[in-house]
Amino acid sequence: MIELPDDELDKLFRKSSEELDPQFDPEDWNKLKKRLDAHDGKVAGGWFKKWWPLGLLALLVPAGFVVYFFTKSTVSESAKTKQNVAITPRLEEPAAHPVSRAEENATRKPEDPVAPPVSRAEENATRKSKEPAAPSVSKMIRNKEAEIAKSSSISNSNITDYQRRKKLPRSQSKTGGVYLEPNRSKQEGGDGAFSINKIAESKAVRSVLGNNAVSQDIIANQDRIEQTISEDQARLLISAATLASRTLNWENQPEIPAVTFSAPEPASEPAKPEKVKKDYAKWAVRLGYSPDLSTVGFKNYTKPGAAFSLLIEYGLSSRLYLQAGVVRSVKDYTANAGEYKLPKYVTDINTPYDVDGSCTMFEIPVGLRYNVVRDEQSKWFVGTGVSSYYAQKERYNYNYEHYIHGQKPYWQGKTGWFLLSHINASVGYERTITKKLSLVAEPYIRIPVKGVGYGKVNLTTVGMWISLRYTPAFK
Amino acid sequence: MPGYTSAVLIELLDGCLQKNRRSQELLYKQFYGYAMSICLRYTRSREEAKEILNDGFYKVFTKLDTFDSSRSFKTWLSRIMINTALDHYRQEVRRDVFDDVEVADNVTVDETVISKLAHEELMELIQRLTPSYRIVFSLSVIDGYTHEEIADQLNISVGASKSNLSRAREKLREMLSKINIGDYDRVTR
Repeated sequence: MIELPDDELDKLFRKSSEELDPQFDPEDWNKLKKRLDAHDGKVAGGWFKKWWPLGLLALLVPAGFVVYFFTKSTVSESAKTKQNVAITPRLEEPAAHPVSRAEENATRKPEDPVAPPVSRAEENATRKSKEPAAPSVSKMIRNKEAEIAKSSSISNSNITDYQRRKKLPRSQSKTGGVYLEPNRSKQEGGDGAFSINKIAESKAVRSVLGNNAVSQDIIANQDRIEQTISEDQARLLISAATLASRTLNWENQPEIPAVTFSAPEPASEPAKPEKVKKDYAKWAVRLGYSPDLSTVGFKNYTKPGAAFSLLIEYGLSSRLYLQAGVVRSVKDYTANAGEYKLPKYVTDINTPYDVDGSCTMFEIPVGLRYNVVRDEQSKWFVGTGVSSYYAQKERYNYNYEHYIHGQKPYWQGKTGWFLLSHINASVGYERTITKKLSLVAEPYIRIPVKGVGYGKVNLTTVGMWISLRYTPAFK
Repeated sequence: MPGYTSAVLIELLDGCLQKNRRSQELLYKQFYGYAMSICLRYTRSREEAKEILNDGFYKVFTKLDTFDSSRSFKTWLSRIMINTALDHYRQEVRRDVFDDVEVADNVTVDETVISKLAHEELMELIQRLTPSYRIVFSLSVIDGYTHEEIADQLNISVGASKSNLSRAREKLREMLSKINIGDYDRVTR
């Protein structure tokens, strides 16, 4: 036994400590440099670790708005188009009417030697051209007759279409399914609302023709027409000004709402298949985060790690989806040393009483998801499958009851693949945010079927995925 | 380390404040040996000492703006290293059992042999002490802390600190006694 006094002993160790000059190891600096890079955000990983929640939020919020407004405008446009389809017949009618009226008259009265009433525009044009050259009026009228006859033959089919469209269901029509045209008098089968034009037109023609001898026949014919509508004339002349301002008066007829009512019915039919199509969206992508609570034998829980997932889903049917993807997780756990298969060189010198594990793992899950309950806004589902693990980085700290020099303090490294090592089970709830985005909450469990990692531990993991599910445009 | 308050050091510290990697590397290299020798006497292995060393330097580089440049950088650095080692010790103290060193037989060894022992070997003897003995011995004997300060740092009584120091010395004497000539030859050849 050495009998060194305290001060001598202290001096010996103090001197030794002061003069000790361990050699610089570049590897130590490299390790620190990596940490500093991560801290300063000079590496993608470091920046990502620090700022990923904010980055994700910054991406998702505008993306969500864009998707929302895009889908909204698309829906409203398609709705508008559908409405237009429904409304078109009604809107087109007044425009088509003046032309078809003349055409129809020409068609119905081909034997009439006098030109039937023509459209107001045509009449105005006729009047303008007639005023400066009165003697050529008969020629112009002949031309007009020819034009009308020509146009009537061309537009026969249009008239037929028009008449077909205008025909109302008998149940909703006071006229028993026959549309009363406003440009005809009651004697002619119309409702007489527009027949003022005929009178005005005939008067205008007469004033243009005046006392021209050539036009006496025409005037006589005009008189005949006026005679046939004399009953209406009395009524119409009284309210001519009013009727002029009520050009769409015919729309207020009780039959018209029946037109608008019946039109949307066929338009709503094609919407149905779209709805069905949405439910059958084939592909979806899920980006998720979950706390990772790993344990061996459901005891000695430590702080939870973190897991991030990227999953692709393929719809086998509207309810059944095939899922696959990749999960990166950090698993922190503590287990008794007996639950590890420790190598001899660890246990030969001293046996640890427990081991603290910290492992960075990649997981390849493959499974099925079944939508048990679903409606427009939400879905409840269950999932099951298998997972393979890749141990990328492992560290096991061995904790000993007694210190013995030379005992192994830890093991660090990676052990690679463990195929089909776990069975997965989960239940989940999906809530629709927009047409293409939804939020998913999915508690899960990974049940070990074989050991993983350096110590081949049966590692059970529980957690809850909080995921964003995106359904791309292609379905 | 001479010149650690010199203009060169101040320039280096300025570079480190601006997160200049080259300046940080130079500072790290310059104080590596000094800091590592502190870490070694507070830990049980070189690997563990390296962890504490890097944890300490990480604090240095990230908290450098709190350093008062009118004071000694070396003292500030040693404080950081010791505090980092103590944090590490506090984390592990619940798992360590104090009396775990085999007592050596009473073997008389020539004192000249001891004086010629390599510094690394003597440091290894400190590392072989149980954590509580090692920490108290290092704080008291090498880093000059009083028993009151040690008691405060480790949340123990002053009496416990004194007792641990006494036992640490005793253990070191025992271990020195175990070293025979053969071991000495092996270490120094």
